[in-house]
Amino acid sequence: MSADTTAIPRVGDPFPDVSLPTLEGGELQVSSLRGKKVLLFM
Amino acid sequence: MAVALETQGADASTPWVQRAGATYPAVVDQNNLLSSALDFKAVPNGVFVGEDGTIRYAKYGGFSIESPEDTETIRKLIHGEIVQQTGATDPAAYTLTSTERELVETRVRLGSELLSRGDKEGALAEWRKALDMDPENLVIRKQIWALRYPERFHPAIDWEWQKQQLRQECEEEIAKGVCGPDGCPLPPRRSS
Repeated sequence: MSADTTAIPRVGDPFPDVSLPTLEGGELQVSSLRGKKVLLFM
Repeated sequence: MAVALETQGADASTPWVQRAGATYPAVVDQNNLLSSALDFKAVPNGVFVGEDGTIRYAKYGGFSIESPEDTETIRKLIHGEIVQQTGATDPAAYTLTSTERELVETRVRLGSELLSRGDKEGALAEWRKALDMDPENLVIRKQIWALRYPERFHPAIDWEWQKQQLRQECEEEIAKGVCGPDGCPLPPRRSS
């Protein structure tokens, strides 16, 4: 159980680096946004 | 960046993004990668990530760009007045084991795959199995609604209908006895 909860990122942890399809038909790799502040609204 | 949690793919999300007047990248999390990785079960959510890729703020459920409190926090983060803010809603503590969680995720993906092949009933059946394992998961529940009752989502989301539907489904689930002796773990009813 503790292993489960530590796997989930919280404030202060790195954001998971996933790649997601964009509405324009491309791909967005989250790590490509390094150096920018990012607000995710979902 | 806006993330559409939409198992029907990019086509279904486009009208919402256009209505929001989005000029930022909008991505589609068709297989719930983010809701799994971040462990959230409700929407809307706001997550702020710093320049170093670290999560600096996260509010799960009830985040609103119309809320003065939420927008003030984001403004301070953008302008560097604060580095990070904890204490906004954290994800609900998961009661599933990692194996159960993997099974739920697999069923959600399988449902999406069936839907992409045109098997709507097959998709609904897999998502329903996933939801039975994880009845608090409002993301899966809403996916099922969006597929079964598209008229409640397009062109506008019928929030009042969602509240009634949620109440009705919870009562049915309790009556069916799918829940334990303490009743069903009802989805969070956050005011938003």
